[in-house]
Amino acid sequence: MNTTTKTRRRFDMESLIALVLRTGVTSSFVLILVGIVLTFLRHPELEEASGSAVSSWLTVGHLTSFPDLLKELAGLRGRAWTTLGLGLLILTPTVRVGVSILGFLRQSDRRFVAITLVVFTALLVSLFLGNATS
Amino acid sequence: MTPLYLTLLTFAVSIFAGFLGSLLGLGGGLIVTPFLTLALGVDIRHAIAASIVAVIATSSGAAVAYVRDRMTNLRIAMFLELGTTSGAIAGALLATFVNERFLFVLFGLFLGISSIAMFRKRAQVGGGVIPPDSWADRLRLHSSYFDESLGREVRYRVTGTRLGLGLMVIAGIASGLLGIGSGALKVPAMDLAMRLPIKVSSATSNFMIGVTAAAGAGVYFLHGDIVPLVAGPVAAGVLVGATVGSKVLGKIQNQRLRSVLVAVLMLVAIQMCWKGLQG
Repeated sequence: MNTTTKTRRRFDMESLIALVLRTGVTSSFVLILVGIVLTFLRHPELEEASGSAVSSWLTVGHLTSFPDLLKELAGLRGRAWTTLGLGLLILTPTVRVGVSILGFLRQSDRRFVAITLVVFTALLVSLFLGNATS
Repeated sequence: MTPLYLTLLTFAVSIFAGFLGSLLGLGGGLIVTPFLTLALGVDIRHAIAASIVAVIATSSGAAVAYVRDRMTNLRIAMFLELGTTSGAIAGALLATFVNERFLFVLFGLFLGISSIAMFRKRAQVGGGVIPPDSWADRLRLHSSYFDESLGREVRYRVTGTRLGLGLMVIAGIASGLLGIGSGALKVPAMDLAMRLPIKVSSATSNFMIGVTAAAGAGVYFLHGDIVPLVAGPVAAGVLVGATVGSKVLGKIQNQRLRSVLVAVLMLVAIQMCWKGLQG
């Protein structure tokens, strides 16, 4: 197509962003699925469980400690792999904003470098705020 | 219900949520939260955490195709994110001082009026004369995209940039205060104030909601509220649905997309008013 050849010559912001998103989405999807499959392989009893066993299964929290996460990943524990996938998915939009700062720098678009820098900072502030208040 | 059955059911429902969310630019939380709490009896905090993950999955999953196909206007999205992120911070700071129920009714009415205005626009083809806007010129927001249903490249000019930014601050405040996915307020703002083509509004809103949700999800993640065996199937299903949806958006007739959008926005408006009145 005409438009793609025209934009390919210079630096292409769209392809960069699409690449970041595709990488984040694909790898988190695979990790999440691996985790779910591992959980059911490890716990065959889950296929038969009912009642209270199900409700307790619905409240197994994710891992908040990084060393524990590494240990469980190595032990092929399902929830650790799913947790890693979910963490990666949650990070993807933030990485996307960070990478677009670099993209606009490359295009020497100073106005948009400033705009994305402010957005990136605001994102970090709101994460900090939310963590402090709740 | 066995866990395996629950997982597969969650996965299937999430595919649908991701499909619809990616087409309308509203995120997948609309369906996921009620499904998890009402049908599965998941704790509300865990359900909200999972639905925020669903919003990120819808946004990122669909944006792969939307950005590549230039349906998302990246420059508009990043400029307007100034409004949504700063609004979200203001909303979080204000949260302790305001009456939540009153706000639900207020935003619900606001959304209801916007969707009626969107409905009345349905007969217009091409959008008429777009008033010049110096901000849109300076920020180089005008662009074009290839519309599959029309079979041609659609060039569009952008207007109302300042008004659009102001409305995004309000949308951000709403999401910070009420924790609602503010896609419902973003799409009408881009459609009515900035006069973007309906598919560009949807794809650009879809792109932006991931950023607002990411801040919220980070908090839930650090607090351990994301249940892997609930949020995992949700995220995986939504990613599948959003990927399929992103391939469909271009092919849909613009008028039909608008009708479905207006109908869903009306439902959200009624739900918000109801929530405020019920308490």
